[in-house]
Amino acid sequence: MAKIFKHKSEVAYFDYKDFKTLQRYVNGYGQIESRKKTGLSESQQRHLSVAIKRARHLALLPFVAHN
Amino acid sequence: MNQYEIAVLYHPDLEVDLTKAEERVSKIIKDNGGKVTATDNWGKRKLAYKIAGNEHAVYVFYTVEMPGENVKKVESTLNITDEVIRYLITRPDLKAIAKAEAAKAEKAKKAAERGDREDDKEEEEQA
Repeated sequence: MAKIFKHKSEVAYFDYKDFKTLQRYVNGYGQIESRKKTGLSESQQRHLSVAIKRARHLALLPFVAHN
Repeated sequence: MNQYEIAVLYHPDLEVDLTKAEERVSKIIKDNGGKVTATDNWGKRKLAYKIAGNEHAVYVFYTVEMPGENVKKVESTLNITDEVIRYLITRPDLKAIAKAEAAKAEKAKKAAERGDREDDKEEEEQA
């Protein structure tokens, strides 16, 4: 499986307003990518998923894309 | 007093004259002992999905100093405010933000020391 980032990501903080960055961690359907693919640490993945969910609430990201 | 970030999505028709709606929201914050320290207006944007039949909304972000016990009151008041179609109140993780910014600054510093091409270009443009 091709990882989105081969090296350990240095992103220490995911901002829900920065939807352009978050967009790289969702697939074509708008689903959050798994840790296998993102290559993030456990806590980073948790922060990421919270940020994506907040962005979805504000309609910055779709819940379901291509529907 | 804690620092909160309130994201507010205004009705798209209010884009022409947002001042009244903004006053109303800042009054809600003030009435609950809050103080707006910064605002960030993104203007009208297309939504990723329809909210209450609207395809667009005006995005405004407020940074607020507010006592924690009043957050619920602000939430319930925003719920019944017609101008606001959606909102989100969060507590930014200040430690993590500071850490991320420090890491970013260090990276930029290291890049400058190495004399990356990008930096050279920028300097040329400035000159």
